[in-house]
Amino acid sequence: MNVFSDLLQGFDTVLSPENLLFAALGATLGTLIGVLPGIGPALTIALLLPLTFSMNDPTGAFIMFAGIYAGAMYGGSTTSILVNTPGESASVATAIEGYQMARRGRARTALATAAIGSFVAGTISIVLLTFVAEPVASVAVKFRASDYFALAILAMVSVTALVGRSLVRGLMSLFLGLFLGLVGIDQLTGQDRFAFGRLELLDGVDIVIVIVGLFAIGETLYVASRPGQIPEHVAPLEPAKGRFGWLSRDDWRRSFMPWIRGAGIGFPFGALPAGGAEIPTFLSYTYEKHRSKHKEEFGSGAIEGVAGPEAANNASFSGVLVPLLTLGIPTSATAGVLLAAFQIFNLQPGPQLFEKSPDLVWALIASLYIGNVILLALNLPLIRIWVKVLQIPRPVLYAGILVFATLGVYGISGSIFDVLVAYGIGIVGLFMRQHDFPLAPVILGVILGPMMEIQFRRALLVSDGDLSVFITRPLTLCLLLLGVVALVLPYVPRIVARTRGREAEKVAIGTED
Amino acid sequence: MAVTSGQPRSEAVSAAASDQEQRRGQSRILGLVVLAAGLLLLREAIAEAGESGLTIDGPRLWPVVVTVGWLALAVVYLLQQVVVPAWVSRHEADEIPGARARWNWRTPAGLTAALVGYSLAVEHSGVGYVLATAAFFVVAARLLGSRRIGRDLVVGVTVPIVIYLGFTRLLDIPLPQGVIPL
Repeated sequence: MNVFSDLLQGFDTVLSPENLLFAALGATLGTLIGVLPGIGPALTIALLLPLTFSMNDPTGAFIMFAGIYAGAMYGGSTTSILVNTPGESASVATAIEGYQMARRGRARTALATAAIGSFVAGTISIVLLTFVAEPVASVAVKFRASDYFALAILAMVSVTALVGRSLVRGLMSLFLGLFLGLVGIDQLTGQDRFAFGRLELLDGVDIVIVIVGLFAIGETLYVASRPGQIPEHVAPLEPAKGRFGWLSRDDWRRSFMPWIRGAGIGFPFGALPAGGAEIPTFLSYTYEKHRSKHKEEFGSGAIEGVAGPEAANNASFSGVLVPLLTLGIPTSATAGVLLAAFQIFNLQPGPQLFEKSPDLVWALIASLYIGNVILLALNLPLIRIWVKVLQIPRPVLYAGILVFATLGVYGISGSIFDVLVAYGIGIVGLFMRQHDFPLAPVILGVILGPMMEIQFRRALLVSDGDLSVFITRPLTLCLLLLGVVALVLPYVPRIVARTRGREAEKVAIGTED
Repeated sequence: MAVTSGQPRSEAVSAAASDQEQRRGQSRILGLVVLAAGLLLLREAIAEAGESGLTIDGPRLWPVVVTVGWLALAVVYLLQQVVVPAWVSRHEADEIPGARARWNWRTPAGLTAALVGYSLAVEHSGVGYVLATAAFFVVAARLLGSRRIGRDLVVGVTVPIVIYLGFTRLLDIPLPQGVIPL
């Protein structure tokens, strides 16, 4: 079968009334949760995971996840634009110009360019994913254990080096994640590690517990520690005007190319082992700012500054699915939760997924198309409802987040011990926020740490304990060298500036998920 | 740090410096806690390794590697907070807006206590999910600054009932029923 027939098969699966309902339900719930301040797509999916437990067929569950993800992304941009509270660092660039547009009475325009841009870029990037995923998977089949080890190192190091302002803090976050990933029974020998005699810890610390702890509990405790610091003012929606989804002809003209360029930047960056949407969104923002004929509007509400980053944000997610589906390597917190969702259904993403579960993979890809369309059709007209959600009083909102966070963990594990672990991680998250430690490396450490260790030991088993296996295989060596480059790269501007006698900063992208 | 209107500049600068110093003190305590945790974890990793030996492809190597890395980073972090040599950029050292040093720890502490009480009440008190959640919701909203008890009660009772019915009837996920015969 070729790509087209596979994809058609996927559409055939998705376009049943039941699955369409799942997609619509996912998009609506995703937006509803994602629109809440401080809640990003990773936490949204983690909180909604229990909804799929009663489903026997993983296809319906993943179609729902695709809708949830798309909805959460849209919800995140709505919050960024109307309240200036991005739920994740990938929405920070959108908030810069989007909130300024809203303050100047152009909230509808900002929301429309974000939504239509997400649709355009999402569609382009899903088309790219459709054609790239299977060839990459066929190459990935040739990867050996040492390559996977090096790839995991590269992904962890590059994300850690790029998020936050301090490499030391980033690495400390990563090592916290690596430690959490070690807790429980060793997958190869069955020996327990860091279980401290507790039976409950033998199964390890689930990624959902870590995400809910860090992002929901930690965020709420952090907000509680800073009364009066969180903006409560929601920018009002101006009366609807103009045709074609609230955009004037000039808005369309100014948005169109940033959408396309955003997709072009977002997808490849998302597909790299460094993953994430932070770099492409800021890159898109900077590029649009330099290129724009309306430079003077940047900082006070330039539409290109919303259109480009939002498109890049959406496109990068389809890019992130490339290493997730083909290599089984999640390179963002959201991809990490999706991996957990796969594992709930006993599915392991990786090269074999395309051979073992082609129906599911192509249905998932097809559902991304459908989710995109549903979102555009459903959410722009419903914008007033999402604005109402944003107006929920903060004490009620955050008390509700704590209730849902507890339910999310309890629903997954049925264990109060796990709930208490999530609270403990939430307290750690509070201190991490207070002292500017990035959170994303923790998630990657939890997910990629065990994979890195297993592949390291497998490589040594194959090579009879010979460590040179990591430098004699060209691909492994190349990936490890790239890891070193990723570690040094953010410091290059500073080193160059120093040699020229100037002061410069480390390149840093965001501090959150 | 932005100088607030009406505040003399010298006062604002002095307040920022005081905040910065306070913040550095907090960071040093955090560094010490991380260091102590690292030592405990390394001891545990070595104790576990002692049982079956430390081999390069065995299960005991990585816990030692990770905890040694943790310790090394904790030492570097602590040094950054104690000694800030000229070659360390101002961005590596703590250069966070002073406002962050002033934080209210009582509310997070109260919320944490409420969360622990809530989780134990759900499973062990016999009152069930709905009552425990309603009580927690009202307490948490109050701690977070709400003074509208009537609204909190309405939301606090409605939300857990909807969740309970949705989870137990629609999703087949059991939640403790407790004393309310739903």
